[in-house]
Amino acid sequence: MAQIKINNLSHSYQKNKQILKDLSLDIHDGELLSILGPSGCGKTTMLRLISGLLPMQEGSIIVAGGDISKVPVYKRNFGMVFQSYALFPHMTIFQNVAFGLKRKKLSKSEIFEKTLSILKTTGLLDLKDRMPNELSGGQQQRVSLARALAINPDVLLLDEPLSNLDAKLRIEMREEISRLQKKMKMTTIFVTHDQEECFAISDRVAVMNHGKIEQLDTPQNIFRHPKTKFVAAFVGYENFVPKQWAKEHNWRYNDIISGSQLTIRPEKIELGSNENILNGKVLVKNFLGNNYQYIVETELGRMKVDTQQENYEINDDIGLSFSEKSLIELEDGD
Amino acid sequence: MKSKIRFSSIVGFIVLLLLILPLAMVVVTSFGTEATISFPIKGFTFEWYHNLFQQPDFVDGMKMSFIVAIIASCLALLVGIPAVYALTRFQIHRRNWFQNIFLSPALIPEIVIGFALYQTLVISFGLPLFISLLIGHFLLCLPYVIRLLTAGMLDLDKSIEEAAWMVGYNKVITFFKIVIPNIKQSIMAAFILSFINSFNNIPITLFMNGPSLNMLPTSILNYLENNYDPTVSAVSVILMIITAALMMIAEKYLGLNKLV
Repeated sequence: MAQIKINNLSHSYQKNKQILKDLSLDIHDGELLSILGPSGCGKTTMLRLISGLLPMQEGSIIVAGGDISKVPVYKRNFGMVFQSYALFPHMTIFQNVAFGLKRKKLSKSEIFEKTLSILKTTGLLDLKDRMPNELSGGQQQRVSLARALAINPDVLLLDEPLSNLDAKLRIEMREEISRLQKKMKMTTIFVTHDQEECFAISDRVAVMNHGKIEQLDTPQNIFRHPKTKFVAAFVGYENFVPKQWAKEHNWRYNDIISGSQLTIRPEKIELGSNENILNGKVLVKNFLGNNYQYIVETELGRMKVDTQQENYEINDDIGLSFSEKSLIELEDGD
Repeated sequence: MKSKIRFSSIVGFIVLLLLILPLAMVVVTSFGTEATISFPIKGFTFEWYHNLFQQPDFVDGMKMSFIVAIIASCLALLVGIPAVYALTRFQIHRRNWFQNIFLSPALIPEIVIGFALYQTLVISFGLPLFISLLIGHFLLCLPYVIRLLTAGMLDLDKSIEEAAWMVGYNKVITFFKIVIPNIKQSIMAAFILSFINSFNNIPITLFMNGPSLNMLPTSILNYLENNYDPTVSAVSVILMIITAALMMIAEKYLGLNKLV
């Protein structure tokens, strides 16, 4: 098991396309850390640098006290689960899982025992003689996970492992990952663009944007106290209010953060109460299942409101209200 | 709509006729009893097949063509497999340029290649005929190998190799344990097509055969200059059978129609 220290990692493709900018990150022993961000933010590049699949340009990666920056990928002993599953098509499930063990100095019976045991843990025992193309996507990803875990890796790397699965399987699979990760107490890095997915299973989350980590914290803290506008928008804060506007309304807030923006979640705004703070006109009304979402044009721009109230229609003039407590102060990003 | 279908089926029928009829004629004449090739035949005999195996030119030519086709195809694979791997997997400056170079023998008239190789390799450098011939056939085979293997490699997910690296295999072992088994079909198909093309080739072979170096297709031409008996039909039938058999193997087991 291992603690990972990433120091001043920079990476660029071609000359002027910088993907990672002086990125540093500590990952604790045995924790599941998610890297959350939109496509193109550099999260996959970072994972590939850690795995060794991509040669490093600048910075260093220390795993369990040793610098692995120059260790080739096949000597790192990291497990990786790929988005495309990447099973070996010409081998049975058993052979796929046993493949990495054959590289270790183990006897044939040890390899056999270990493979069987990992197939049992991942619930794949019945499928061991099948070929990869005979399996469903969920089963294939399970095999991919089993193959990565079989070599008893120091670090487990997950590259958007759930994004090719349908919604139900996705939840099942992420719980499986979480269960195995906790059981084996394995340091794990989970790359994803889905906030729900990573909040559910992560110990900590690093939100990435433009090659930098914008916020590193527990899922709870990121959800309740996003630090920047980017993080807020990424975890579902749809509405932004200038601090200046709040000041004009003589609102009290901590004012310890130097930023110029405040943010509020759509479900924290009420429609049509007596103490209207903002007036607006309904532009869009959407039924979302649990509630309705209204998009309202106001003097602060378009505000999204999630509410149970269904008696407003497009072009209705309505009042919006929200409490000071629901406004969260943001730092100015760069 | 109906007339279109009728038109295309008529054209299809004519093409089939033009293709099948001469071949059928050759098959029939190879069993004729007359001393010259004639149709229709008056009697039925296997004499010409017997005679074929009495002609040292044909027997040696067949052996030599076989040897050259196998060596040239293997050489083309030995060069082609690493080349295609590099072209499809590495960031290569001027990738298209290299690809075109490898494919260029297919664009230059074969008779020109034959003449040019003869002039440079045999006349100027004094290389032995056999070596020059092998080089010629190797060039002939290379484009087939490059094209078929490129298709095979592009179908192979790169992360499969990465998965093997991750579990402890270096790139060379991964190439043999993961890449090769998964492009096996393309390799077989490339080998068969190369073999057929080398075995049946005349334009390049013509320049580089000689008294000590008999190739089957040129032997047939030589024989025709002096004789016009059904032995030629018989040897043609045998060539047809070999080629058709190989194509059928390629088609049945490798799905050639998908690759070409």
